[in-house]
This record gives sequence, C-alpha cells and structure tokens, in this order.
Amino acid sequence: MLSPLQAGEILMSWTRAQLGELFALAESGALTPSELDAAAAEAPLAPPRGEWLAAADRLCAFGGALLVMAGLIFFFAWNWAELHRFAKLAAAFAALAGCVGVALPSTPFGTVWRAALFGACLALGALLALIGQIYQSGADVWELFAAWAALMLPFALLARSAGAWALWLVVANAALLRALSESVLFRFLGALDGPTPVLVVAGFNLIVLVGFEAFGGLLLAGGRRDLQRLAGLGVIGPLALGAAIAWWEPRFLPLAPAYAVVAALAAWGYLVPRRDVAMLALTVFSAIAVAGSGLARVLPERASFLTLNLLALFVIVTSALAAMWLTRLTRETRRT
Amino acid sequence: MSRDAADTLLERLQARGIIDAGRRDALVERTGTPWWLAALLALAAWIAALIILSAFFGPLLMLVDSALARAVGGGVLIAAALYLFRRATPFAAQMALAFSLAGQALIVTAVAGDAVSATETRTLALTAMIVAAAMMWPAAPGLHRTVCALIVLLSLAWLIGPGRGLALFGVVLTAAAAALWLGRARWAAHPQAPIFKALAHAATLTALCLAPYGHANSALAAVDAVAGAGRYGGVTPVYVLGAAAVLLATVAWLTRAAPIGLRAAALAAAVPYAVAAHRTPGLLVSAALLLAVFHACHRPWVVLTLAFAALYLAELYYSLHATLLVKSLALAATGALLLLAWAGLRRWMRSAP
Repeated sequence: MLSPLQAGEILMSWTRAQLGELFALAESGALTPSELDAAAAEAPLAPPRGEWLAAADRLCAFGGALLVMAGLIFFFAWNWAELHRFAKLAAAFAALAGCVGVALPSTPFGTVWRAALFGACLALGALLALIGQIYQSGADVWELFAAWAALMLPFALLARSAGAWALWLVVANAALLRALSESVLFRFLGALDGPTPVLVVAGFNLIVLVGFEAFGGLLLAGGRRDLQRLAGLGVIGPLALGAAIAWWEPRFLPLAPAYAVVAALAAWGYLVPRRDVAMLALTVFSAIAVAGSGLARVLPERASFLTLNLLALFVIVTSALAAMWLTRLTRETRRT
Repeated sequence: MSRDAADTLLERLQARGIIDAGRRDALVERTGTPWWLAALLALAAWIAALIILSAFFGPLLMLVDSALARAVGGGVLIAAALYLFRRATPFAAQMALAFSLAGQALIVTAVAGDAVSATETRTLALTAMIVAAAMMWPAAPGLHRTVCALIVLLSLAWLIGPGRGLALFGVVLTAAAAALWLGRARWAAHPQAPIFKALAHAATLTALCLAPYGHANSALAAVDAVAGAGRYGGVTPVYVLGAAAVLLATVAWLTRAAPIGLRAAALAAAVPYAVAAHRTPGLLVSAALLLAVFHACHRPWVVLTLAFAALYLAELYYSLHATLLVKSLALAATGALLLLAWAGLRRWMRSAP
C-alpha cells in the first residue's frame, strides 16, 4: 500500500522508463519542443526521488557485495599456489554455501532468491573445475560440462529464473557439442561438421523447447519467453546451417527436409496458436539464408558481377518484405 | 525501451492534453523497431552491402588501384550512403552505414597511402578524423553519427599518443560524457539533438574503454624511467585526480537542489569512495558515468556501464601496476564503504518521514 506522499509523487512525476522514451522521441524530432516543454511543466524531467533511492539501495548492496567478493577472489589468487588443496576446496564450497545461505531466508522467486541461486549455479561450476584441477581425474571437458548441467538442474528448478535456465541450456549444449566434436581445432563448433551431430543438437534443443512451451508456467516464474527463444535458436540455427550447406555438400542433404519441416511447424505454431514474432523472425530470416545459399548454388558463374548483384538484390528484397510483415505483426500484437 | 513504457507514456501524454489522438497514432508509428528484428535486419543488410561492395569495388581496385580511383570510389559510396539515409528504414540505415564506412576508408587510404611510416599513420588518423567529422553533419540515423563520432574521438586519441596527454583526454571525455547526459533534458528537443546524442554515446564508450589506461602504465613507467622522457610519469595521478573530480562534481550537480543535509551526506559518501578507489580509477569513471546516465534515464547505458565496471575488474586482475594483495585490499575497502553506505541509507529511509 502506498502512502499518500508516495502516491502523490508517482502521480506528479514521470517514471524513468517514461522519461527515457520521452527524451528519445524528442531527440528523433517526433516530439516537438513545445510538447516536451508541456511534459516538463507536467512534472520534472528527472528521475523521481523514490527511483533514485531504490537504485542507490540496490547499487550499494549489490556493488558492495560484488567488490568485497572480488577483493576476496584477488586475495585467494594472491597466495593460491601456497594454499592447501582442502583450503581451496573450502573456499569454493563456502562460495556455494554462501549463495544458498543468501537464498534460504529470501522471498521465494524474488530478485535476491533468483540472483543467489544463479550464483550457486556458477559456484557449482567453479567447484567442479577445481575438483578436476586438483585430482586430475582424466575426465574429458564434456564430462565436466555434463556433470555441471546435471548438478545445476535442481538449482535451476528451484530458481525458476530465465538466467539460471539459460546458463543450464548453454552448459548442456556445450557438453553435447564437446562430446560430439571430433575436431582438434574447433572443439565445440566442430560438432556441426556432420548431419547426425547437427540432428542430435537440434533434437536436444527441440525437446527443451517443447518442454518449456508445455510447462513454461511451472518452470519459469516470470511470463517472459527468453528461454523458449534461446532453445528455438538452438533448434533452427543448426538445422538452417545444415540446410544451407546441403546445397553444396550432398552428405548434409538429410538436414534439408528436417529444416523444412521444423521451419514450417515453427511458422505455423508461432503465427496461429501461440503468436511470437521474435520466433517468426528467426524462422523467416533462417529461410532467407537457406534460400540465398540455394540461389548462389544454382546461379551460373558464382563470382561474376551479375551473380553477386542478383544475390544482393535477393537479400535486400526478401529482407525488406520480411521486415514489413514482421513490423506489421509486431504492431498487431501490441494492439491486442 | 519496452513497448509498455512507450504505450503508457503516450496514454499519459494524451490524458494530460499534451498530444491528441492523431498525434498519438503518429507517435506509435515512430516508436522503435524491436531489437531482435533490428539485429536480424542489420545482419541481412551488412551481408547485402558486402556482396555489393565486393561485386563493384573488388574488380575496380584490382584493375585501377590508384589514389584517384579510391577517392572516386569512396565518393560514390558516400553518395549512395547519403541517398539511403533518406529512406529511414532499419535495413537501409544499416546498408548505408556499411557503404559510408567503406567510402570513408577508401577516401582515407587515397589521402594517406598505405600508412607505413609514423607520419603517414598520423596523416591517416587526421584524415579519418576530418572525414568522419564531416559525415556527422548530414541527416543520418543515430548509429551512423555515433560511429562517426567514435572515429573522430579514436583518431584524436591516436594523434595525442600515449602518456599524460591521453590520460587527460580520458578524464576530459569522462567529464564531457557526464555533462552531456546530465544536460539531456536541455538538449533533447534542440535541432542538433541527434549530434549531441551521438557525441554522448561516443564519449561514454571511449571514456569507459580508456579507463583501464589510468592504472595500466607500469610497463610504460619502467620504459619512461630508463628513457627519462617523463612522458608517462603523471598518468595515474592525472587519471585518479581527474576522475575523482568528475565524480564529485557529478554528485554536487545532482544534489544541487537537495536539502543541505542530504547533499552533505552524498558528498561525504563520495569522498571516501574516491579515496578508497584511488588504486582503481576505472571504478571512479564508471561511478560518475553511471550517475549521469541514470539521471538521463538511458537504461541501455546503465546496464552497459555496470558491465564495463565488471570488465574493468577482470582487466584489473591481470594489471601489473600493483600486487594482487594491494588490489584485493583496495577492492575490499571500496566494497565495504558501499555496504556501509547501504546500511546508512537503509537507516535513513526507515527514519525519514
């Protein structure tokens, strides 16, 4: 419940987000000087005192904690070589326990809760890396990432934050890519050098995407769709890359129909039952990339003046049409 | 900026009679493209621009590689960019940016040659600065003007060269960026506002990128001691004192209308922070700019300034200007001061009416 003073302040002031938009409109010439003056007469064009205090409160707390933590890390680094292995492990365990300790008394799914559990996910990775360094178990890097992803899962489930889940997804993908890669130079992206690993990576991300589309309300505290989009990028990105290469390398051909099916399903799914213009944009621009690669393959004299300009014209026309359509969809979505 | 913020702002402007329904619909059309669409369009535009550039200028420069050919080619590209800038769409803007940068590069290399000698390098920096400064004036999207302003500032930094002059340049840029953001409400509706904004972006980015220079002079100082030129001797004092002065001036300006007690408390908190952070002047630069961009309500720069502060700490770890123990103590002291300030703020907020 707001006090009368606070309520009055909110009514008589612009929020920071509104001020940012107001300035941006004035700077672009969309808002006239007289309109900006009228807005200034309505309320001061500066963040209200409440927002300053809230920001100072957060900055001093988080900034202070961060700098003290950084000081501790620098201190341990200063005499790291002389520290006994148990002392090193104790430091890593203390970081993990500290994060969990901060989460326990905080409001479930609030900012502190999510930040502390995200920190616990990171501390867990550091602890595993330290164990690997001290005991030289001979495990491959992908096993470290896989173990990290598996052990992080309970923290991500508890946090229900997009940040923790995004870290989990990145780590799980890193484990998969490292396990599938046979390249000495490209230890992660080398996995995309064959159709089967590409299908495995895309398949894994598809399972995650379907899971978050079905149970997003349970797995995530907020209503944002960042995680679904990240997983969608993990599905469409590798398949589109494979389909674009398939025009040139016959061994990638199985990926072309796989991409076509997934792109068609994504286009329908994110247009009709669950409108998500960002996912549609990803689908449309990946289709432009695949079609552009095909055009470059079928045109005669690939490096000629005419061919290069035809390709550029294709990219310009298709991108312009896609932009017009997607902008219209964005405006429609905003109105609804 | 979120769509919700734009929508609620326009609703409120209409409710207060500042704009009518027609103006509101027009402003809805002017609010920006979503970032993910802009990013995808930028990627497509740069690919198209690079294909066109390679189709036209690859063969041309292979056949006639002379200063005149480069200058004419550069002029043609800049003319194409100026034409595309009028289209006012995100795709055309990105393509025009690619053309403009390629055109500027061709003109600069036409004037300065291959920039092998030190004189040629200085001529290259000077030409790049003049061309980019000229390209800031024609009507163009903000990104193009910001990139041109960045080229101007980086060329200027190159011309100044390492040493006390560069440290002073970093401090002046920090002060200029802070002043521009603090005065955003005054210039937002000015006819030259897009240029002010581009300068603010470029000065902020350059000031944040130069910040590690304030403590990273140990190797240079050793060379300086041997050579005896004295050029690098004052880098750290100039940076620390300058950045602290900018931070204190920012706090003083922001609290100029506050009650005397609050103003004294804010300044009293800033002084020990500046003293504790004297080994880490990048934290002083970040703090001053963070306050300024927060006042200017520029959310992306608030996030970026914090990100640069974190990157600064990562860079500080590897810096040789002090031992890890000294850096550890400096960071812990600065952090402890912030936590003390937090406790004091909480107490004051509980007791305030």
